[in-house]
Amino acid sequence: MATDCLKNAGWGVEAAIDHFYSSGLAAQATTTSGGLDLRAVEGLYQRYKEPGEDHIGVDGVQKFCEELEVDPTDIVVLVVSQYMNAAVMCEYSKDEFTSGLVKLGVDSIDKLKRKLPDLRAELKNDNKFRDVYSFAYNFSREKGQKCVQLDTAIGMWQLLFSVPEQHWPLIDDWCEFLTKHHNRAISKDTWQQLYDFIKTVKPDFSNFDENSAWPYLLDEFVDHIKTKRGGQ
Amino acid sequence: MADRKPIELAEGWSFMEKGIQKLIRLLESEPEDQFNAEQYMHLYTTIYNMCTQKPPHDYSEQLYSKYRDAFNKYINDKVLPSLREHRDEVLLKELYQRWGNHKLMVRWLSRFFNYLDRYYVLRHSLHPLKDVGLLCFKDLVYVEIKKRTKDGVLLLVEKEREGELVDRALVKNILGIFIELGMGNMDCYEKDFEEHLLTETSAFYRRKASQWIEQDSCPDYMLKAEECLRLEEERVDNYLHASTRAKLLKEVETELLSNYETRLLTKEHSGCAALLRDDKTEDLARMYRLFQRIPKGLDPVADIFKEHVDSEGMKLVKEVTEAVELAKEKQAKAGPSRDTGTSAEQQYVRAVIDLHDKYLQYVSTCFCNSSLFHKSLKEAFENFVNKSVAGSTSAELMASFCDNLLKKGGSEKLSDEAIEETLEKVVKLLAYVSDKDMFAEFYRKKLSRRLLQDKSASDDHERSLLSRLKQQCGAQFTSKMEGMVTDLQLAKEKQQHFDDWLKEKGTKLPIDLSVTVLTTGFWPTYKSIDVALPREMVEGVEVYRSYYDSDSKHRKLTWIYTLGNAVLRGNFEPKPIEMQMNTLQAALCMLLNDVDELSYGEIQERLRLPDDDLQRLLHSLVCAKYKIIKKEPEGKSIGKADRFAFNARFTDKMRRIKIPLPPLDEKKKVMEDVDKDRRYAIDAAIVRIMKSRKVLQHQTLVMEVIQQLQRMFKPDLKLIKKRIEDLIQRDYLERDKDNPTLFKYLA
Repeated sequence: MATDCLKNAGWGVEAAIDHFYSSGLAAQATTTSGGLDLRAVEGLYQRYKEPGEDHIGVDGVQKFCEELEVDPTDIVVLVVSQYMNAAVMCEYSKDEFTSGLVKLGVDSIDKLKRKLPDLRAELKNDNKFRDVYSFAYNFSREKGQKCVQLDTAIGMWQLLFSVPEQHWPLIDDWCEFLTKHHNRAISKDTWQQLYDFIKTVKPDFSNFDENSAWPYLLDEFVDHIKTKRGGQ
Repeated sequence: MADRKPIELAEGWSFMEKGIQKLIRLLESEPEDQFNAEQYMHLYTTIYNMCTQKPPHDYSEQLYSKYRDAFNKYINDKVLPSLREHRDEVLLKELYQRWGNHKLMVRWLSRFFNYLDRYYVLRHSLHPLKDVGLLCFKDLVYVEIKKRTKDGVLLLVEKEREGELVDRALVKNILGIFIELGMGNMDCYEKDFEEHLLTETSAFYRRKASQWIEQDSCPDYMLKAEECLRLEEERVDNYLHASTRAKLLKEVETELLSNYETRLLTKEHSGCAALLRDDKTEDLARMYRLFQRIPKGLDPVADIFKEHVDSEGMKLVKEVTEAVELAKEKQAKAGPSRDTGTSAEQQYVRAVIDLHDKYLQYVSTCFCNSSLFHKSLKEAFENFVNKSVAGSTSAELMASFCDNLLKKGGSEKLSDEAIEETLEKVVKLLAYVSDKDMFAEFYRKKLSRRLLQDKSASDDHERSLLSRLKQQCGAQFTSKMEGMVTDLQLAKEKQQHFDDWLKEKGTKLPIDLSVTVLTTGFWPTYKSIDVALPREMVEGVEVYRSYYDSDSKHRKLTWIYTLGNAVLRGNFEPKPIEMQMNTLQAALCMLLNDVDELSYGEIQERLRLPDDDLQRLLHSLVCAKYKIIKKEPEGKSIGKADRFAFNARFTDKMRRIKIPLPPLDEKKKVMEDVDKDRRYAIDAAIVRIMKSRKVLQHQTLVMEVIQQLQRMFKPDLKLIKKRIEDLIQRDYLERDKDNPTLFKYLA
């Protein structure tokens, strides 16, 4: 659009800007962004935002989910949050919310509601799931913290691996192991490496090399499971 | 020479034929005169003429062929028939004779026919006359006779091997024939003789070996084997060709040694292990010499050696562990005693040193200082030296051992030289210990005690040991300890300074105060107990503080009273006695100067000490050897409800006594300190390596870390992994996005 304006105005910047505002293109621009109504998006933000604050808070998110007819703990909310690149749980900044919706290509609750099944389906794809999985770590952190607390991590893991295509048979063993033996926060490195581990290591651990670069916690887990299996 | 009538072939040849017959008669030892010069010349000239005549009378070609025929005829007529009559040794003798004859015939005839060699042979590139002669023999005689000859020779060889004396010269001569008939190469010798010799040899020794291995013990077998090899070598030198040597010996070695090595070495009562057990050094030396000959022959021997040394070492470990357990049981029943490291543990170190000496000697004498055996010795020691001994590590025991040698009144009374020697050996043993940093820490702790309590027997020995350690383990190892020694040297000077400063200022202290300033970092870490001192001491401390601040700015003093000594005079009723004791003990005693009696609680309040320290102090003054404080109720242990008073009736035959304060068991603390230091060392190594390499694979990183640290200790793989993860968390490193086993350095 800018190029057109400039061309029309004979490549003078000032003239082009004048042309832009006078010919009604400006009005067009604010309303169209790939066919979306940006003002509607803005409207949605206003609807959910915390009164007196400049972000959507817990109540707003709650309302948002209700109107979408999903439970706030539904995994699809996580996907949506990932599109928004939200920094923390239960809070969306204005930028996050609006840019998220734009990325999703929706400008109304209805449109978003209709898109939800697609979003759910995205999780079947390993690459997309990996992105969401990676995102989930930072998202699960408490504000200002560097690491995710154990119970939050476990909850998130349970949620993520509840997706049928991404089911991990050892998820319960893993959570039990952590609660009994580790009982501390989970580092980002461990979180990230876990997904690689699930995807590459066989269920009988026959291709697991403890001298490789797996995080120490995963080495311990493998030992733990092996002992458990050996004892049975 | 023109115009001479040409000699016809038939005529010329019949003349030659007469000469040949004469020669033959000579060879057959029939009565005949030798050729004289004129006859010789005549024959030669005839040939010459017949060759230089103009065609069609130049008979070179015919003469050449008749020359050959002459040999063939003679061989067929006389030589072959006679050889066919004989066998074995007689055949050999005859053959040799005939061969000699033949060579003579060749010599003479070729001289007669010499002119042919000059032009005809050369022009037509034919065999020279001498060769023709030899070839006739070879093609007619040798070909037919070679097998029987070979058999004859081998028979003699076998006889000699069984112990008979044989005609060596004959064999040598016969073999000479084989060689000469090769005419420049060794084909005849090798194919027609040597091959068979080697096969026979193999078979012979195979038979012998299978007998001996059943009947003989290992040393006896080895003696026989060595002798056989010697004889075979002699055989080669005597009558075989030098080129046979290596091949022959190899056959013997294979049959006698390679094939039976395992059986020999593992023979129950006489094999390698048994020889080591029984210290049979001569047999072991022989074993080394023999098995050195065969490829990889020494490997099994080295392995058995290693196992033996290792098991001897483990025996020592077991012995000392049991002895210590026993002592602990006794102690538990009888009550605590002073802990200076039981003599069993000292003996262990001594025994390990002796073991090392013994087997080092073995390596250098029996095993010719071979690097393979040095390696076995090293591996064996590295194995058992790093096993835990009665709950302690060898590192700790060695440090105690050194302490014993270096301190005054140590249990070993040795001459200076002996001490130096022993220290040197201990340092050598240290090379096998993988936890060298553990040794360093224990040694440092004990060194500090020796230095501070003036218990070091000899400055020279201390210094020499430090320089040995520096050589062995690097400067970093000993830098702190050297710092400690230096501190103490300077302390005397500083004290002088202080005294001068006091005089200058005209300050008088109520007590004689001497202070030793230690540089933090060199010395082990000490807990600084914040005890409330009596005011006389406090005054001294304050004065010193102001002196020190005036002397060196920007330095902070932390007082460690637990390390201090004090001399108190106790005014006991019978007689006053001077007592040397720890500063804390002194502080406690002085509390009883102002009051007659104090309760446990009151003492604790005034001194501000925690329970375990306080109880230790009280115990040393109340329940130990010198009971200078009495308590109510009496007993062997300190209770919190007890009351304490000055024991006015205390006395001792000496005017001066030492009241020791038993030291705390430092072991746990040392190990904690070492663990902490190791974590830092690993972190530092990882960062250093990653900083220079920027990007590195996990495996490579781990290996580099181990390599960098191996001089001090063997890092645990799991620990390294944990530290890597910790550094990732602290944003020193990150994993590569595409390859999670690759790490990148984050600046």
